[in-house]
Amino acid sequence: MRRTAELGFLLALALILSYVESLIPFSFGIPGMKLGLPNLIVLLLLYEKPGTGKNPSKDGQNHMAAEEKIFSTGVREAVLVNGLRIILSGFLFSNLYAILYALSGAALSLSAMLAGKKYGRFSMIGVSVLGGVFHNVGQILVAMAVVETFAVAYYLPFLIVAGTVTGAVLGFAGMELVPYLRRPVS
Amino acid sequence: MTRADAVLIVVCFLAAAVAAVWFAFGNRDGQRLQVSCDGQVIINMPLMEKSLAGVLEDGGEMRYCLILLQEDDVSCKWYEAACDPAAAVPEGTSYNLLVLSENGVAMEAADCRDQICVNHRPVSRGGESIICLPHRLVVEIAGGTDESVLDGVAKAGHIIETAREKGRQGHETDG
Repeated sequence: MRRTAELGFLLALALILSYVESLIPFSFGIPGMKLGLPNLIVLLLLYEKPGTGKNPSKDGQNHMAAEEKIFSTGVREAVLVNGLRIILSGFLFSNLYAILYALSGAALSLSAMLAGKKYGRFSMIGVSVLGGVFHNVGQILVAMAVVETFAVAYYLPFLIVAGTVTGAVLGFAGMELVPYLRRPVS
Repeated sequence: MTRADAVLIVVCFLAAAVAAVWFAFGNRDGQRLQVSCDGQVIINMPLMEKSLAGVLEDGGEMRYCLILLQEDDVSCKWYEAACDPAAAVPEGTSYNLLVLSENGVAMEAADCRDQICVNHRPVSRGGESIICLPHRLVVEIAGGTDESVLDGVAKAGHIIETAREKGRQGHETDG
């Protein structure tokens, strides 16, 4: 019951981030260019301690004891919240095709993030960069399939750079945030 | 930030640079304008070298192409001046309005929700494109004689299609 409330809260937060992101003009006329703010929620759900790379976590699980965390984390939670966020924000703000592209981008991005996390030598910054880049690449691949043209690939350089930079900044922000996610000791 | 992070970021930038170089060197000022919807090519015409407005030969600065998207049919109409979509587009039909000028090809207006195609910069070089995803419309400039591999594959597909078309037409006239 508690988990449902926690995840619902995070879902609402992700939706707000998605909306705020849509207000900030970042696309420079290139379709698919975004800030990637909702990925912050995904990062926080995948991590508790972001790690410095010096002590790679073997199982990728949380380091805090269950009672210490503000919300429960894990891969399933991340998939659930992110998936629902995409579907809901798609119905609210855009169209069915946007949902399709975003879901495939998110699927690829989450796989890349999990692989990066398993590898152990990346901090949250590196994992976030992987997430950002692969999200954009995933969207391009699906767009190529839908409109049956290779012309979309022309945008790859811009999207890779944008994904890298936004991913790095977001990862850094996430790392700074994690210490505050510990429940205050009473 | 770990060393692995820094390496990853550098690798990403390099990958982007490689992709950018590959696309940039393969293309010159475009030679053909190609518009397709759902993968079907509906416009394929040569562009004159300096003036992209050389579609019709009676001079003038700009040409507009109104693309109408109906359920089973896509058509286009050419205008010399901007037409008012409210007047020119019948009810229940989606549209994209292209404009050809010396800056290149741009999307003047469209009735899609995200308007990304309308906000796009004008395109003029080979390989560049304007895409309206909600309408599955691709407006691209096919490159010059140095074609990149990707253009080559797309062209091959188009050649096969036009050959098929010609074959079909041949059968019709024979009958």
